[in-house]
Amino acid sequence: MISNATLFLARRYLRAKRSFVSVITVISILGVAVGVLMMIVVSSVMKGFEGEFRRVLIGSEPHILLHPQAGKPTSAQEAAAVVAKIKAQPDVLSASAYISGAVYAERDGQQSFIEQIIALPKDDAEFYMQKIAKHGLEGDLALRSGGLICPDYVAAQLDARPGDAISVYASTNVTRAVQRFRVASDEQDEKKRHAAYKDIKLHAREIIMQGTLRAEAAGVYGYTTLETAQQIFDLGAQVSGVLIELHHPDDVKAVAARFATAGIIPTGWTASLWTDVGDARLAAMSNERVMMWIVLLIIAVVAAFSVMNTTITVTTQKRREIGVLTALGTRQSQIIGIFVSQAAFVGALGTLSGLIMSGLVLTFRNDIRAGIAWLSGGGTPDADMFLATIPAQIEPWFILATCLGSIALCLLAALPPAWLAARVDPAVALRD
Amino acid sequence: MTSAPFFLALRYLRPTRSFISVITVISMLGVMLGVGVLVFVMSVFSGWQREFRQMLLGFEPHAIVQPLNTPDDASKADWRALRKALSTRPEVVSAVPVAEGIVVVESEGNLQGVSVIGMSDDNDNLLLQKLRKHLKEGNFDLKGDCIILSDKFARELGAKVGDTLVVHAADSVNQFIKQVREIPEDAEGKKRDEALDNVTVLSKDLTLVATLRADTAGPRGYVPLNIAQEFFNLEGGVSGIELELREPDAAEAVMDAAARSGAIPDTWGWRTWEQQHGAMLESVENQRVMMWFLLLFIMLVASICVMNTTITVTVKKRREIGILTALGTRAWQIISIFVSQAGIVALVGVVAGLAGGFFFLSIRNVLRDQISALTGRDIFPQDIYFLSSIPAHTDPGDLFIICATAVSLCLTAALVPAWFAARVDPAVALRDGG
Repeated sequence: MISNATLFLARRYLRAKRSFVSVITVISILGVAVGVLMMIVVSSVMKGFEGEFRRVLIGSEPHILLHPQAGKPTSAQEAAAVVAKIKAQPDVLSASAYISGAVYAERDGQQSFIEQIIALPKDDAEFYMQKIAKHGLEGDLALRSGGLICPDYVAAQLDARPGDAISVYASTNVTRAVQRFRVASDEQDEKKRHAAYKDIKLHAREIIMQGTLRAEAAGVYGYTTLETAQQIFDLGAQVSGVLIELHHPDDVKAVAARFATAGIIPTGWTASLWTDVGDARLAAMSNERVMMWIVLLIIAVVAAFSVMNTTITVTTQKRREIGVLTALGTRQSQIIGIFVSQAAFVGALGTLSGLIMSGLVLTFRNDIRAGIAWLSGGGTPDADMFLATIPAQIEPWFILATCLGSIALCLLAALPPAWLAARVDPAVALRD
Repeated sequence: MTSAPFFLALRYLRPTRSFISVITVISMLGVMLGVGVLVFVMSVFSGWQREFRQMLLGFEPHAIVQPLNTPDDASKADWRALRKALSTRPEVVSAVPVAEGIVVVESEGNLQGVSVIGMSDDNDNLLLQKLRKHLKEGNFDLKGDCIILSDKFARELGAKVGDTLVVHAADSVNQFIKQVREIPEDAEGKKRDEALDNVTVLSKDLTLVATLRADTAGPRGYVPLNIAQEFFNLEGGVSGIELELREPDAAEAVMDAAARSGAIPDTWGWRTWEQQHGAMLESVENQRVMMWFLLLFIMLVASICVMNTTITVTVKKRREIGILTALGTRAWQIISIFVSQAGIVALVGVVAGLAGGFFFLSIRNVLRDQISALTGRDIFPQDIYFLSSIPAHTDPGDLFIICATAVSLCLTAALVPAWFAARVDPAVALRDGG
């Protein structure tokens, strides 16, 4: 048991005035603080990057897309039936039919290409457009019939501003036109050739560019309404499948598995999840974070060496006192308690100052970076840029584990010298 | 410097039955851990960086000399002479004409673009020889109407080796779209027909003769030179001369020197594989520097430990310092006693750290398997790092910097208490006792 006497002596030994012991104690505290500081700052920033990457994916990718395999369209009725079943599920924020496809865009002879258009029902797009609207740059982001929201680089290539009319045509139309033209132009007979030319059409649609999105956060998607897309892709009343948004997108895999076992996904359909895009990258990021933490733990280990050194020095200095205490009947556990609690104090103070410093570093991380950039002559990054600020995510349980681990290492380091000191024969100690 | 400080330093290190020897050993352990971790982590990082460069070099042309302007000037004619001149240079092992550009491949209802290099099938084409190593299926034979694609792209197209693919020149497809769009769709039939008669789409039926592994050979496709020349409208010209260099790691400097020596005419420019992948190479290098900075803190804490030991030793030897000073020993000699003691601690720690670092490097892959088996997670997934085993390469320069940093940090840490110790007034020290 740690008695008051033990703590009293531990405090006394720490406050040795005018002694080098206080200097080496302070230096040990510094070592522990540096270890805690590095572990917390590096892990928080790495976690921040990971979280930022997840957020970008969750905020720009549809959480789940259910669609027939090989990208064949399906009837609106079937999609509506699936939507009704999906909406009844607990984790689902909302769901609706969607159409996706690639289109070419053109304005005044300028061409561009939108890799994927996502089209949603005009009256039921709010649940999805809400999250996309965060990446809006210009114009109106509420889907209107005959309107298109496109990535900023597409607008730049077309030199288009919100309100401008642009023509779009499905990339499948281009393929068909090229194929037909190739066959037609091989035809030697002029009449037949000219007859074949009649089928070469791109079926361009005039639509209004109504807004732009920041592509680095919102991805390469363009958005329009279901009926507009049905015209562009010549789908009649068909749709591509069902788009689902979840309350907790992090659980997407479990949710998709549950849909599959519950039989909600029609046979021949498949589910694309938002994690498909960055799964391997995310796994690697969390992997690197754990490895980094292990490497930085070595700082704490070396700091514990410093604490051990201090404890050895103190026990040697106090050898006589230990002899006296033992002769007076102090138990071994009490002697050990004196030195271990002294190390605990060093560990706790070091951890606390490390914690405070890491809080400061994390709070001012962007100012620190700006300072370094200024010193090294670089400019400050544009505030609009993606990752213009260093992300950081603080996990309380992780910080708790780091602090407790750091203190535990200090205690562990103090234990062997304290135990050896307590075994001293009082007669020998007093004689020496 | 006399040997007296060293003699004393060694003596103080060997006090029999003293706690000082224990704390000295612990300080050495700290330095050892710092050096060991730095050697291990930096070697793995360098190894990875090296493998990454090797992978790029394994398929990327080392350098391409290309005309600065569009090939409508004289350069079209004189590429043969330039190729000959370049191929005789000592730093160049192979110089072949290439035609680069983007083609569009037709697949079910979609057009997919891919960047291709057109080149000849000569035996002295070293680019071709090195690409052959990445063959996955088929025969790497660039003869006749054929194309070679990456396995990934072939899979996306749904094409197998032996299939015939319809390939268009990307520019001509864009041109086609533009011209079709310029003719109003409701225009008079005759006018439209005439206009379309003047449109050409450059397309060819090419046989997929081979696929290359995309993970090691990149996403690019390859076609015979004459086909690429047709696609990219070069009329017997080339878009560049591809060079394989004797020392690709110094591509930048080699090409710079070649340009300055006048081997490359004014109307031609050049680019290297490093410029092509500049952002990636830079980000790997940035990570390395970041890692260095973080691991330096281990060393810093280790030197704090050494400082603690030096403080303790100087306090213990206060009496002796007093005697030495009284006998006329100069301050710098006193300082050098303790600094060289720290130096010995650092050296032993560095040697032990090197041994430990190299030991763990030698068992790194066994260690990885053990950790994977224990925790059930792969700590070096192949699809991210494109390597099946953890690479390692120890750069002697890095090694030197690690050791030098360790020793100088320890010496600096010891200097402060040693300096204080040397300033002791002998009278005071001797009066106070030890």
